[in-house]
Amino acid sequence: MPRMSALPLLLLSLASLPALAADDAHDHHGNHPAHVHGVGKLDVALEGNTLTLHLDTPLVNVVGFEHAASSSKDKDTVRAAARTLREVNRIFATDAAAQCKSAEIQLESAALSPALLGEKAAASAQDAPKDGHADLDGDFTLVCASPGALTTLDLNGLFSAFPGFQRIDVQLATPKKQGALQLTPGNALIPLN
Amino acid sequence: MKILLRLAMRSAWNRRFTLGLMLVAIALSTTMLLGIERVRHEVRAGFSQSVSGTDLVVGARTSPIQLMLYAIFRIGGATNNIGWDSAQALARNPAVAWTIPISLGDSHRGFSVLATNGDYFTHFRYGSNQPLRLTQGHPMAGVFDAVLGADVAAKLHYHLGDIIILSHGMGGMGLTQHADKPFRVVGILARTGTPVDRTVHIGLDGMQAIHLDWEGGAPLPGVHIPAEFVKKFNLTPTSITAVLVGLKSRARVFALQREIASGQGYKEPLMAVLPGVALDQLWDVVGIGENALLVVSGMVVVVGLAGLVAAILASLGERRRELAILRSVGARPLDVLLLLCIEGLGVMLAGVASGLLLLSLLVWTLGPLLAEQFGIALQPAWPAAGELQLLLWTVLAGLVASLLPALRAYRLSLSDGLTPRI
Repeated sequence: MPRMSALPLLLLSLASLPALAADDAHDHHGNHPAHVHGVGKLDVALEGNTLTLHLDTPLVNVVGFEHAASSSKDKDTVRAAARTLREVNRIFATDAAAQCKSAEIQLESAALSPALLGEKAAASAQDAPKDGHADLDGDFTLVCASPGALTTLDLNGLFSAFPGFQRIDVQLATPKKQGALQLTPGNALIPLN
Repeated sequence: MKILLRLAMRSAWNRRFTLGLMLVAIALSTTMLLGIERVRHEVRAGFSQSVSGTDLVVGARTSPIQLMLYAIFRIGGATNNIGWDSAQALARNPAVAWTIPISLGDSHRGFSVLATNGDYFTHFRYGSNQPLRLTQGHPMAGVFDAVLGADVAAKLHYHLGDIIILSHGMGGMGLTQHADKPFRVVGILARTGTPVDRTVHIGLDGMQAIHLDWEGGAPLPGVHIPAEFVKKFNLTPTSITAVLVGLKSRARVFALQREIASGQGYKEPLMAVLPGVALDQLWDVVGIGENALLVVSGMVVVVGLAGLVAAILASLGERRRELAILRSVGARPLDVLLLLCIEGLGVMLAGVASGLLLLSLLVWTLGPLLAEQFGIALQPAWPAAGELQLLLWTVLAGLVASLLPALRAYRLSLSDGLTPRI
């Protein structure tokens, strides 16, 4: 009776399912953050006179590819993109009256060498991308002489410099409020008060 | 002009029944339009008032909105729990100034039970950074002490020293009771207008103690640990629902959020959400439904206006003689036009005013019920700027609508009304 003999086998395979699921739950080293081409994430924190920005974007939005830069053309593209990102007052424009100056910039991508991104020292080692996708992380710190005059953060410069961005999801934390907003090329102002 | 006004009033009084019905229709549609706008506004205000000064809510990985709704507002599906060791690891993080562990799941006569520790009364803030205040008594000290929110105490007529019995789980009747381990009311909080008012607060050790002789969601048969012996057991919780976190520096909030999301340093996958960010994300989702509601109520107003136009147009037939007589005694066509405009505008204004009155009446009578059932605190108030704008548009639309019959009357000739037809 082949039917009867198949039953224990079926039960056995069912019994092993929870074990597999448990294994999966324990494996939190394989952390897979969201990666959507065209969409970047920006965290904006304002405390005292310091404006801290963290940009997390698929690499493709900034340089148009996500593999290691091997050809000299690719390398030139990366260098140019890194140079633009470092012009903080152009891509993250603040009110002139607030007199914000960029204090620290750090760019990091698992697919690209720190030197190519204009970093002096090697950044903390990230895992090399295994699924063919790579991100770019940028940390920008701005120090403002008169933070009271800071009313908006303008990302129009970022959208025009990098047409790869279709949308940027912003998380905002200021002394007065927390908030979320979505920026698009036509609508790129973040109110800070 | 004064004569016209008097004529319009007299004429309207003559047709008071039809116009009265129109007035009711307009009043009801105004009430609906304003009511939706008022509820929308109050819900948003109430939500954003409920938590303040908390930088992050940390819990199990789920939707940020679900975690925030469950942990702060006790709304929606329960999230998974997180281990007590994760909560402790979080509290030890150098960026963290304070943590409030919270554990949810039990209830008392429909009110949520929240297990926490003394840090809740020290660090929790609502509104514009206001701390919690006790009107009577003190925070929990013993294992079986409970502190009540203002609504719980008022609704159930509890006083200091009263004994209460918690139910296992949420929902109505038929829940298993923790009857063997009653709690004593040791404190009553001042009213906050937030979900805190509808919460029974107990200690984390109390939550652990009432579940000592339980397994799999039910009391273990044959095992009973009397309340006086629970202190012999380890009352440290194994898991909790979420942790509210305050940071030393706000600038670190996103760095800590990423650190928690990366999963490094914790034994389980955790998630940290900024309450304000999650609320904005919620409004993004809810906004679509809100707009649909506003559109529907806008359409109800349009239907009301269409009825008004129809009623005035229909009355033109009856009033042919009246208007013709007015013309024959010297009224100009423009006077007739004005007469009908005044009537339309008058009905509109009266309708909108009675709509406002009706809304205030509803808020006054049903407001407490709403607050109790859904936690939406509606107060009778003067219309806000957004509501006034809606009202203005409604009246304007009514004026434009009444122009249609007025123009028709303007064109009707003098002889038309005076020549009898069979």
